[in-house]
Amino acid sequence: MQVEIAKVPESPSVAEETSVWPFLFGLALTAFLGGLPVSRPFALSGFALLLASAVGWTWSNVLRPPPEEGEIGGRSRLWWGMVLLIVSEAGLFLSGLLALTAHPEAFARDLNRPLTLGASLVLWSSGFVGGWAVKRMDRRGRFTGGLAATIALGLLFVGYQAFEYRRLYAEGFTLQSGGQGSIFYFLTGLHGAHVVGGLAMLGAILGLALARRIGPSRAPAVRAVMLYWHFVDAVWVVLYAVLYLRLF
Amino acid sequence: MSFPPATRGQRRTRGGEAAGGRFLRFLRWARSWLLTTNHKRIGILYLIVVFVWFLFAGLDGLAMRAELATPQTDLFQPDLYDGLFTVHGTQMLFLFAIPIFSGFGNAFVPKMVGAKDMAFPRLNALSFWLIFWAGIVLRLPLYARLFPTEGWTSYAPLSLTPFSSTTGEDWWIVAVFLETVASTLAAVNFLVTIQRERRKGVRYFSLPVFAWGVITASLLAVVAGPFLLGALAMLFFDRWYGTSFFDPSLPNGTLLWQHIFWFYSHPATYIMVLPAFGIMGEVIPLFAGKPLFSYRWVVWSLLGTTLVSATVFWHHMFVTGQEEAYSTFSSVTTFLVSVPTGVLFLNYLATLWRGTIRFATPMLFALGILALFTVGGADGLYLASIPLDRALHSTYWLIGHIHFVLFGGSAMGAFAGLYYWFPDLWGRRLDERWGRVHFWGTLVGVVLTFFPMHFLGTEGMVRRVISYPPGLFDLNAISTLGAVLTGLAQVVLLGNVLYTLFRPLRADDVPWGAPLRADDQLAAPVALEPTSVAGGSG
Repeated sequence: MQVEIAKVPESPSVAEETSVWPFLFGLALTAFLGGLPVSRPFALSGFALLLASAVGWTWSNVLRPPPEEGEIGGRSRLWWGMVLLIVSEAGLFLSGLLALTAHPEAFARDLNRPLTLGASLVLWSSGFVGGWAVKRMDRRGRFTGGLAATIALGLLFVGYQAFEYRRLYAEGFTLQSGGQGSIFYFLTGLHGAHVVGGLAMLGAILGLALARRIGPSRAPAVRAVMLYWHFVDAVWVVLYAVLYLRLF
Repeated sequence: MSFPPATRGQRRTRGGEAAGGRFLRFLRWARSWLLTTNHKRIGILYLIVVFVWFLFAGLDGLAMRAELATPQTDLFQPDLYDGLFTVHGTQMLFLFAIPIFSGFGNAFVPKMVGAKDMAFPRLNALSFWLIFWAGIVLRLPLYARLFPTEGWTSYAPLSLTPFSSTTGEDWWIVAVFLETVASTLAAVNFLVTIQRERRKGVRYFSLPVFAWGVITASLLAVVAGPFLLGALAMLFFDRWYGTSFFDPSLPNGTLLWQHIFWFYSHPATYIMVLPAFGIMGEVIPLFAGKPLFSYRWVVWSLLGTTLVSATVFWHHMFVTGQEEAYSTFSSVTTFLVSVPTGVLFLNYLATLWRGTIRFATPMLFALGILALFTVGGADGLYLASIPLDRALHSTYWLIGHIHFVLFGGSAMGAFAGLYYWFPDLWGRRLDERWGRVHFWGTLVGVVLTFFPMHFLGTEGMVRRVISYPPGLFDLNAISTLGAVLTGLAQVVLLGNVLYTLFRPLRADDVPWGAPLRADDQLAAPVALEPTSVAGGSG
């Protein structure tokens, strides 16, 4: 019998395939979420570690060459990964929208439609600018300029949202204001967090491009981030239609 | 456990190995495992951690059966009992039955499609670590006597602060959140691996059946998982930040949680069992000495089960007073979902027909699924009928059903996979005689434990109670004896694994061989490629 076959040692490189970032990121996420109901300092330090490990993870990606794609042609693995992530993220927002079915009072209060439409147009235009920029990755000036404009428009939207939250809180419409307050702040807050996350990724790309750390070889990653940004825009179409225009 | 020397450490300490050198070598070895991004190592880590969670959750179950051995409340305080069934259910479902197949999937799916590794190796490591931490976050409150007491379904408004104010309930939310993030990311990873990292010439309809089990389970996890994340976040907000998502004073406030929870958690039960069906598809043809009967029908019935399983979730809510239309719809689809599963099982039976069957342990467990899951599927059909469910819901009939499909499906599938693939992972076969003892102990134990529960259910014994009328003592005693037997059988498994890890190599320590399938040459050498982990230096 071929007993020797069982003794074939692993190639030494297997032991070298390590990264500290997933370990730290998992620890940090656990400390952050587990700390929330127990101790605020603990949760905050978990959150700080979460941010640090996200930065470290990204930076370690920048330092290594982009991984080779598989043998089969077609979309990149990051594209597929992002599409599936978007499908599942859509479920996250849908679960929040489902809460509307149990809350007939969720449309009691009129929200500021015209002003929010203006901010929405700013967000949606950032999607077009970003799409334009990504197509020009080989022209660094246009690429970085387009990205900077995208980020500026996104920041404008986040700024408007902060302004609107402030105004609504001043008027007494808060997270604790019944079903409408819960759903409004939950969904717009979840969306806002996605915008901020997207801005962080776009900012990282812009910074790395300006520092000549990444070039066209990173196109799959940049395109995946832009796909995510389009998704965030699309979610806002739904949220604006449902929460503001009451198309439900 | 012996560990392979890390090359750099060895060079430095060659000649008169000092204690410091050995320690350094140990650190390198520990680092190469704990920080690994290699799919096979992550798969092994999954298997170790997830079987440990199985052990803990199994002990919870045994403790419950010990309490139920007598009609009175004698061993535990009621809130401890509540904590036990909550943690038992949550850990078995979310931290054993789902991630165990991530373990097997990590170890074998990349090889099955001809990939070097998973598409996102580091994301893969993150999924594993979240499963690890989720188990700890879930169990810690049990030892601190801060019990989560709402069961694995944690229905709101019962789980809102006024009714359950323990930190255990908060950490239950966190643990399930972490697990769901992990399994969703793992599912994305599997799907991208199979879609993008396939070797040229590997078509979807030439993939091994286990890969199809992983694909279908991953599709469900990607689509449905985030609904649970949303529901958990809303529950946490209601408990901590004064929102009113699950406000019981609203007409549908008490049902909202159930709608969202079951939209995930019903498909989740299929996430737990589809990969087990996949393992059957690997094991049965090999040990029947015949190609799989109609590969295409097997794949299509897996896909059909996936599709229909996403529409049955309202059958968990027949007794809640939801709209009749929902109940009727899900009753019909629940009857319907047994059709593709039936087709699948008939395919496996037809594979056995006139085969030269070898009753090796992987085959025994695969046949065990065929028997036990069929019982569980049949008693589930009673629950699909609305009038019968109104009588049987929340009785022990339900407990009997869920354990026949999940112990009989997922756990037996995990055992079949463990015996079948152990040589590919560790370079040694598990002992066959002990394996047979494990199998028969488990099979008889499971039937003794869970079959009487059907009668208990029709007698009206309600689930999640710590005491019961003395008239039900006999059936409960049989159930507890069965649980003890099931537990002892798992001790045999543990002994078998530990013995096999450390015993010297034997002549028959070769992988079980490749599945025979007429239309596929590529899968054949894949499962046969052995590398040794524990035996690397020995």
